[in-house]
Amino acid sequence: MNHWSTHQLTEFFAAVCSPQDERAAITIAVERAAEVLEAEVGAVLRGDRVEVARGVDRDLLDGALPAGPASQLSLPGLEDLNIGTARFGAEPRGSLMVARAGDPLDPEERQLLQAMAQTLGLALDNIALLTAERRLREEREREAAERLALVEAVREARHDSLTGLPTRVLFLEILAGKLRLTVPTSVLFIDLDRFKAVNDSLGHRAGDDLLGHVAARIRDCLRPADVGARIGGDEFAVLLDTTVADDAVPVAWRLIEALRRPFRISGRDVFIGASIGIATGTAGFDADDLLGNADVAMYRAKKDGPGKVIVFEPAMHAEALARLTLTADLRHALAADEFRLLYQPLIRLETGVATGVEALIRWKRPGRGYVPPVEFLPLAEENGMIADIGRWVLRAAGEQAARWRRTHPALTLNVNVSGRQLTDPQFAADVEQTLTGCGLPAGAVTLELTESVLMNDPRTAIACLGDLRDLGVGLAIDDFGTGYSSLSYLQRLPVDELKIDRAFISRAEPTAADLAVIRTVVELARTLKLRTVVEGVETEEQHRAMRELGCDYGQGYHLCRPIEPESVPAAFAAPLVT
Amino acid sequence: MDRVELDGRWFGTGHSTLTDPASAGAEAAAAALNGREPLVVFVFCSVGYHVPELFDGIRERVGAGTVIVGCTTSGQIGGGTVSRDGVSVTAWGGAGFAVRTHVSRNVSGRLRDAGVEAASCLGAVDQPHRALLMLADGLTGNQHEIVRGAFSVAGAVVPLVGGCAGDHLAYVRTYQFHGGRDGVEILSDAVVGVAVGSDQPLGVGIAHGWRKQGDAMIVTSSQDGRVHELDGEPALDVLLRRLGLDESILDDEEAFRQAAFSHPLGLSRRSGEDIRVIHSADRSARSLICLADVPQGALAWMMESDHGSLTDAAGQAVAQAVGTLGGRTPLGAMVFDCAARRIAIGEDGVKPEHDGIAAVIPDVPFGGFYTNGEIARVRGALGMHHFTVATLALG
Repeated sequence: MNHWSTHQLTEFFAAVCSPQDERAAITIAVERAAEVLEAEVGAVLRGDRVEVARGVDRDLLDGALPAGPASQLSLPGLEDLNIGTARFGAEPRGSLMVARAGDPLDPEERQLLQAMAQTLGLALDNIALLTAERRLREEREREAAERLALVEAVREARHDSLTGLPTRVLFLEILAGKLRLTVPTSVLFIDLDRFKAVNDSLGHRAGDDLLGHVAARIRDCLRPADVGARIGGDEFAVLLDTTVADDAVPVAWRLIEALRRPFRISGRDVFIGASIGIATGTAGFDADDLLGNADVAMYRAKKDGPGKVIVFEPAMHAEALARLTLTADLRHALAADEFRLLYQPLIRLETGVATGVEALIRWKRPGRGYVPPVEFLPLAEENGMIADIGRWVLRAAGEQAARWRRTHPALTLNVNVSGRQLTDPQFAADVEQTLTGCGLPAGAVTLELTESVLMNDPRTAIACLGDLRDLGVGLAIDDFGTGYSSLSYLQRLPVDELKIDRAFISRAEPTAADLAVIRTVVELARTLKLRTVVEGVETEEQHRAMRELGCDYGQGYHLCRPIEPESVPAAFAAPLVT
Repeated sequence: MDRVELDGRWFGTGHSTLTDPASAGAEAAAAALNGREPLVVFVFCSVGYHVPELFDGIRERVGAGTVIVGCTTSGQIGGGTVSRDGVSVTAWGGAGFAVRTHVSRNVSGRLRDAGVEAASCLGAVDQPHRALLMLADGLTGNQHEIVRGAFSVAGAVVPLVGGCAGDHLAYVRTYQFHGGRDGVEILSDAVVGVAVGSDQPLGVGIAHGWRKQGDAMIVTSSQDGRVHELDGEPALDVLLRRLGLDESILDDEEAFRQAAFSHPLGLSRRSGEDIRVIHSADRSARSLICLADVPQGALAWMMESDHGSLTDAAGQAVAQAVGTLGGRTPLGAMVFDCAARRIAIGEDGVKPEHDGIAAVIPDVPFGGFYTNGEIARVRGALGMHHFTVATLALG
């Protein structure tokens, strides 16, 4: 005959073995032992401490348990309870305890409790084993995940995470593979136009977004065998499989056309463009060299462009080399004090008297004579040296003008400023420091900026011009009328002077149409309370016409050529023209 | 006897079988309250009433601080009578009592937590004698877990008592009620915990009236309430053989249920048996379906009884509860009587059962309902029962 207690053990065993963690198993064991033995209180003790209690608060039980072995337990609100305990497990040993009112546990019940405790011990051993195994498995899984992450990271280095395109490394590997074949391979080097402006004005996230879209459009223009890659920043490259240069050109135009369409970024249409250089190679070419050639061609395209496609020619290497030499020489020039300043007076047209000078830089390159600014300033602008050069000009001219003002206190100084300088957040502070160093009042200085510089990024320009204006320096728009003039911006820019470009009076005898244009500009300037300076006055007719139109100042060979600094005092001694 | 009053403390019950819900509520409440302001009102009603209107008739008779709780049933007890369709109201009040409640909602799948939550109201009651009365949805799975959760909070000192709501044994949907004068919430899938505090002793009793029949069997395969095998043999086959029934009885669901109700399973416990009602059979799987869990490995017997034993059980349960009051005459009693017992004893047995209770506590009012599971824990740690009568006596 089956006794009830034997089979309760089966039930108990099944329940205690089901949880995966120790605490849950102990809780179930306590609960089931108390239920089966109809005990009011159940507990598991580890050492002297109650770990889990049922039927009574754990702390209360901890306090109420007799120190040594005892058969009775007194708890408030309950009649005295008979204790039954059974130990389980190896060190540290635990014990399963029940305490019930009424009858003490009979021998069979004590046996059952003992069996339950042993079952719990086995279950806990089992859980410990499983937990260790699980930890080991988790450890292995973690290691595997780390290895996978490492592989991913390597893959990442070969794939651009932003666009998913191959990186320069992978691109060169693929290109090298193609260049082992006898068929020609063309490489397109793509540089985005105006990307920096988008990044600066809409933020890096928008910039990243834009690069993703660009990559997608590039991909759309390619055949399956072609490869697009992101080389770095806003530069992309395309490998056209089995394609000669002539066939690559239409692809390049298609790419430019695709990139010229507006991109929807951050809820607005963004317009950029691209300049592309193409180089073609075949078996025996070095992949790096070929990509370099495409880069050189792109540089040329950018210079001619933007939005141009140029196929690489060997002569471009010579140009590139010349550019490199020039860059090195330019760096040397500052250190070796090879720059000179000429000054072109500004003449008050009404009186013919010089009132100020514009500082003009010249480079006396050893063995080659004077280099005109147009041959080195664009490069300086490109490589950033313009900031150093500009600082030198302001300081040299400032010191010079301060000396002249001792005898001609009203003399003013005009200095040209590049776009690169204007976007330098330190620029206004630099100007202030330089002028203070020279002892030249800010009011005696007018900084000249070209229209295109102002219009490229009017928001930054306005901010910087505001700072300069606060210093007290005057601001002029140089070559006015040649760029994209936005009259609305003109009104908002804190400028004092308009310098009307020489193109408007290029004819020795201005026509009625020429005059009408100049009159409009002069009237506009007057409305906005701006001084007008007309440039390129080379004939007496021009001079007279300008004076009659009401232009305030003039510059030009007819009035005075750019002169060496030592000639300036003489030019201020008497009216230069009458 | 509908009402009794001792030292300003009172206990009253009322009953109505009127079909108009507002009138029924009003009639039962008027009888139970008799113009006094109750601390708590228990409303047990059959499914089918328009319950909001029923409560309208009750709410207008209670005070601002009165707690109204209750549930739908498979029959009502109160006001000296028993009904299948109707409403019974049990109320008590006066000095020395305290009642706090907590409702645990959406309890399916988290019954143990629900028990813990429902018992949380005990903390707000600090009378020397306390009990936790629970009214639970009878259709939310293994209700044993609710009691285990409540016991983990209440501990061994506080007795647990109560019953699970019913719907005339349709097993479709039951409702629990909780609120007060300003409105009563009609809930399903909820456990209403009622912490009862009193200056005087509270007694809980339990009895079932069944006895073992034949040899013990081991539950060799089961899951939750479904018994697959007994002694390694398909459980349905064992049942049919033991009861001498033919396979054809399975064609008649009602006949099978009647036979099964008369022979529940008894799970071996030290102080007796835990009864499991066999509710139906799965003919193709040859398994038996019980309304509460039948643990695998448990020792079980087929149980049997006779009308006399079953009907007497109610009086025994009340006597047990009263026995713990230290000789005091009870103020009143609450009775949670299994609905399946009522089928087993038949309609003819209902009155003798009721009279049996009245004989134990003459002149003491009692109210309650026919349940889908009974809660009673006084000794040990188990508290969920079936095919049983559970009682609470207020000293």
